[in-house]
Amino acid sequence: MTNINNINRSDFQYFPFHLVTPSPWPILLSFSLLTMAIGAVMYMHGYSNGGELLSTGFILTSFGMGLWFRDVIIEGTYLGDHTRQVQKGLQLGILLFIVSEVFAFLSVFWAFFHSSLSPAIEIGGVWPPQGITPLDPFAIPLLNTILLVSSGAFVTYGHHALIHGDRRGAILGMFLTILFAVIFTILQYYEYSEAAFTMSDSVYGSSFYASTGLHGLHVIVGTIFISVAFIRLINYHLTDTHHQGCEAAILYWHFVDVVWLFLFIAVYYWGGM
Amino acid sequence: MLDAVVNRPNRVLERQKAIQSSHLPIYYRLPRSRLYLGTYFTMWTLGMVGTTYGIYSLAFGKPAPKE
Repeated sequence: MTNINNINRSDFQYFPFHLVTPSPWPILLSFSLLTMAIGAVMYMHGYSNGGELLSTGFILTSFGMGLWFRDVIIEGTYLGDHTRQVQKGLQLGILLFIVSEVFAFLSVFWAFFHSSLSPAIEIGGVWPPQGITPLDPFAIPLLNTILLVSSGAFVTYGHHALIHGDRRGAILGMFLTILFAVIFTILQYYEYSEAAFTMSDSVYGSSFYASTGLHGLHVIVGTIFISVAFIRLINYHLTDTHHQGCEAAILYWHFVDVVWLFLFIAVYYWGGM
Repeated sequence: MLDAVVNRPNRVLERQKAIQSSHLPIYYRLPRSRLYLGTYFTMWTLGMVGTTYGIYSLAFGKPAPKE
């Protein structure tokens, strides 16, 4: 007699798709985002307790995302729900997400070029504006470029090692990627604290910190993304043929890498001359 | 140090067996799930109380005077 409680999906499921089970995360995270949005409006308009509500909303959103991704990992690694067909869908989702990120950065670059290609008379008709001392592109920014490009090379090494079944190489490659990413963030923090201008110093300061800050935020998210892949690699979650999350992290990291090259050339080098 | 990480025991199979034989919702299947979800639900409820207060403040309250 078949025990209905111990169903093996492949015994009776004749399609490769993943029919997800009911989950509390979409509704809970929607309300967490509402908390964050209301908190942000209150904070920016000077209402009392706005900052506390904004922080609560941020913690709820990130904690909830962590728990939701944990479920996705269970489905992929322990329940076998991520078939080839499902992996294709996930890959497409990540690609579309990165396309949306490209457009987010496009808008920031647009703002930068709008202000720098024909500088307004209020800032002296020159770029960088009068009174602004830009950062030397061949000091920390060049070092950061070398760090990010090297981390991109390490992550590719780690990926190829993983595909060829070289566990040691994969772990080493991913570890060095994370190490270089952390050093990049520390150097970026140091550069911000040493800079001679702030975000409120003309449109130069605004566009500089908006573009490099948005990128810095992406570096932090990418570092967390790769760290999750690294922990999963150590715990044998990833195989040579099945490592969709790791590939998504690698793709995201290359995107962050490419954006930095544009930032270095446009904002630091050309915009700082 | 790298050897210890590379050669650590693989527990995926036993985890797969444990999780696939469980009939709980997915979010309760891993160890310590009740602790994580309990913490989250408590914080979320507090967040909802704060959000209700926030919406009320935005509709009927007054922001701090501008300097």
